[in-house]
Amino acid sequence: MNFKIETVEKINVIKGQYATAQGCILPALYVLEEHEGQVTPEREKALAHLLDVPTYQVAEALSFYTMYNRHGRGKHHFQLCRNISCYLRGSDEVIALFQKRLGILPGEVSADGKYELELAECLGNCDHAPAGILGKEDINDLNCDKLNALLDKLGAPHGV
Amino acid sequence: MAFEKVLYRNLHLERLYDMDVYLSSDGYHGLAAALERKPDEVIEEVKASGLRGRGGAGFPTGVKWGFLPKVTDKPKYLCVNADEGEPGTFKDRELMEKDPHSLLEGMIIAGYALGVHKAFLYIRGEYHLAIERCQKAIDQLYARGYLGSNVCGKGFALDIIIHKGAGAYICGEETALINSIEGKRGEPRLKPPFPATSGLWACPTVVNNVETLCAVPWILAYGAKRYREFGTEKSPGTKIFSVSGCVSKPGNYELPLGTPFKVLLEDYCGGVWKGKKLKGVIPGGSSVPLLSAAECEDLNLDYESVQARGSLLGCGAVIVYDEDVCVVEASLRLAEFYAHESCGQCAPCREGTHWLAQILERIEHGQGRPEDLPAIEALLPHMKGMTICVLADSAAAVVESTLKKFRNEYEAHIKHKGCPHKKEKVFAYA
Repeated sequence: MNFKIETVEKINVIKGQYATAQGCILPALYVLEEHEGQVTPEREKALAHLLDVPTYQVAEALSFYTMYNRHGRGKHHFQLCRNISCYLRGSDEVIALFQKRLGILPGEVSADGKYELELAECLGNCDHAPAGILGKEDINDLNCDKLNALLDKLGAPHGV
Repeated sequence: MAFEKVLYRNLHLERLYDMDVYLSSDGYHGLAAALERKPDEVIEEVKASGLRGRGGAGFPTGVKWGFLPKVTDKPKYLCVNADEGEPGTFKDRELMEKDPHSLLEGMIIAGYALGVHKAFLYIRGEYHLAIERCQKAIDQLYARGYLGSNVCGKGFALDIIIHKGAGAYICGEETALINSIEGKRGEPRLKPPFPATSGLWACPTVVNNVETLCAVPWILAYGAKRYREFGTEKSPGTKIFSVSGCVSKPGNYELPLGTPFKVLLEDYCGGVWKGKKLKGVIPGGSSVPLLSAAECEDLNLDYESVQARGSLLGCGAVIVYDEDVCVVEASLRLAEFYAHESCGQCAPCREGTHWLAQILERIEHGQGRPEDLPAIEALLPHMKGMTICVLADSAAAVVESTLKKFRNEYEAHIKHKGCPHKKEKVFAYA
């Protein structure tokens, strides 16, 4: 399979920055995700070919790092923190509310493909606990009212 | 308690992330002062300041820089650890979002002092705004000749590359971070060899934390002697304390090291949340032992004082528990985190973190057995000091300290078959 020209161009820039081809794998995966979309097995192999690294090296990285999109994303990707500082300020109630409204478990995408829930470990936003990320935007100082309002704005159902 | 803000000296300026705003204050004065001296003299100044690594270990920065070989036929690297993942820590995020030029100035000074021509800034992938602001700041620096083949016309070359993390707490460990830049799984390496002799691509490498490097421009601009006017003899300077959990005003506070905990809690954070009583404090990020309220009564926040109480100052992330917090559930939360983040290389960590989480889970949810507490106590010594890195030790720290200080709460969970604080699981797991 062939990548888009901008994917190849950006990966060529990365090749000039890292001392080895293997070093390019993590940044190249981000480029691939940005310009091509989900990291499918075909794209994974094509990337290994483009970088001239053994396929196992790409597979090894993908199986270790959790942020790459290998399985498709919901349109609204919610990451809600469950770790200590957010827990101390009521993250569990916020997470429970999300589950009640959307009827999905952590790691799942709603049947219509619109909502995805990921339980996050500390997001480094503890002064705004309970905290989360929607897409690439931080969501701060969450509580049930605030989450309800946010979900209403996105048109989420009230309970599934 | 008079002190000057070192790290937050410019934070009141709007759009400080813009180079022109940074330059309108004392921006790049430290770099100018550094470039007038020989590289060795810059290292000596940092040594004289007594600045200690702010990532958690507290190792003297100037000494670390001094370990890098002067003469070598290999390239030397600087890696900046901005993979801030320690639960309760959010200081580097604020520095990079609001004041990226301080960090970059510190990096250029370090590059000059160490003879480094390529630096990697490893920022955790979730820090979208920090990545954006740092990249824009780097672009400005290239455009104005502060980076590239001839830094500030002084004939030395430096490139800075942002390496975006991809979701692995363990990459905050310096050798795991190095492996991650090499495109490998983020598994810590055995030390020795230390990164100073064999780090990134087996070349001499220095790994520094964001907050550490942000203090460097000030030290060069105003002098090591003045830096030592703040803090204590052995813990000089100021430090950012990230306070979270059960306080009225969570946030980052820059204070001199040695500041009494009570001053931080009462004067800066508005006391315990909702007027409740203090139960305990994790003083240095989730990886250090918890101190009880009594142990915090006259505690000073410097490396030595916290260590003398049996905990660690770590990265200065202060997590506060009020009287109603269930220590068993809070410990479970952390145990699950470490089980999830164990890289799996060493059996004591790979197995131990999961066993710990499993035992705590059943205690918290009413299936605890009387033999569970001795089982935890038998398990912990096999996790501590038995592995390549300290993740297993970290997992053990909070559990061991709370079991020692709040054993009655663990026993009550077992005796009454459940958590006295809560009757059922609030949310469902996958």
